[in-house]
Amino acid sequence: MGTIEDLINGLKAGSQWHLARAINIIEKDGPESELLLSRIYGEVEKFSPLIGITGFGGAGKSSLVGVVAEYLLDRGKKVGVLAVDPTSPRSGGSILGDRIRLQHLFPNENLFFRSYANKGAFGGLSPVLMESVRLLEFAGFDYIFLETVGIGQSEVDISSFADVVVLVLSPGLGDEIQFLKGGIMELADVFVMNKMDMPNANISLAALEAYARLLDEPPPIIPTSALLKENVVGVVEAIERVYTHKAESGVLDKVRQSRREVLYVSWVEKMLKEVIAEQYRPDEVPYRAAADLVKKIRRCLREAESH
Amino acid sequence: MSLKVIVAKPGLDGHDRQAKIIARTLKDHGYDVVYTGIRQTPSQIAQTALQESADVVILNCLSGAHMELFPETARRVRELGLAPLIIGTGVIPDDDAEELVKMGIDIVFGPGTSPLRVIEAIKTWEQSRI
Repeated sequence: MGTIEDLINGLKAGSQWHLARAINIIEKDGPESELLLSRIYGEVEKFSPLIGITGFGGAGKSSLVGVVAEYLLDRGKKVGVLAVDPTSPRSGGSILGDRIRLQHLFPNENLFFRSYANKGAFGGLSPVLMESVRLLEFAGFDYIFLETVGIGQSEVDISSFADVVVLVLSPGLGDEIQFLKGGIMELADVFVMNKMDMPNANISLAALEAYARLLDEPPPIIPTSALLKENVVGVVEAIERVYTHKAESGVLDKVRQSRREVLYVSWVEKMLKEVIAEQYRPDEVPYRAAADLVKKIRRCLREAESH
Repeated sequence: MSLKVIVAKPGLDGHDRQAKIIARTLKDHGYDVVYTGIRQTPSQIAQTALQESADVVILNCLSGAHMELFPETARRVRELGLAPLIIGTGVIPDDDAEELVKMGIDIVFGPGTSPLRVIEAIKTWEQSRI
């Protein structure tokens, strides 16, 4: 329905219909997709604060995004939320259940929520999701939240893409040793200890604070309860503070510049995966087969360049 | 790409085991399923279908309010310029089912239907669409 030009105009006007349609086109990955993306990248770049929300499954990421979004909507802001849930390794299907935590905020002209299945992009972000961020920026959202699938310890991609990374923790999920481990704990800008309404929540909060004291630059630790809507303002203020600090120190520019590269690598991986799988020979030594394939690719590239 | 299916419960009916069984069966057959949860208004469901680019919208109602809620939801979904397959499920008598089809619900399944029949219906629709 309509041309790419109509789509661009609709996006610029902030139409949810056009936004959903544009995301759908990129998901389907047909010829229209390349046209649309080329057109979008031809426009002047626009940025919205992009907040990555990560943490263990069940920590309350979606519920927290729900109360934070509500807080911002009440103040007249336009909020976009992109949420990822896991694809079933057995069937390839998925239950995308994050939306349920925000559903009471609809109907709402200033809130856009889209659910994504991770389709095997474990821990990382799919290129479709990352391009969606650009579409939302283009459509003029004041805040964009990117909620990752709740794996926990290895989600490092989010920090190379989002402006501010919020790690949502909840009582009883780990002691100080868990906090000491490498991974997302080192990359988060804000720690939120959610579910402070639970019994003994203070013990977990104390363990987190003890861990943070060992760091050179301890991130803010915000105790909250999404359930009781307690200290939502604390979360919003912490995000704002980190964002402003990163903007002033030039860190934000660097993150945003690297997004193109992250996307390029991510698209290459997605597009090459099928081709590479086709080349597989079951009787070869796996290492050998892989090395041979890479050698072939390098040779092709050299030949292509010399022509 | 998997088809995207919205499972929604319009109205005040709070019993959602049936909706969850339908959602899980769809997941097990390779569909991406967004479950809205209970107590949805027709306009909430319509905006969800729009934002998620739903291929299929499955409505479930056990309270008897389907004659009001299903056609109203279908109307609002189509008003937004969307054309998903709309399936009505729940405690729906045969006479009502016939009436609902006339009122814009594409397919209606009553009590005792295996969730697999919902899958079959979606597959048949998908083939006719190509």
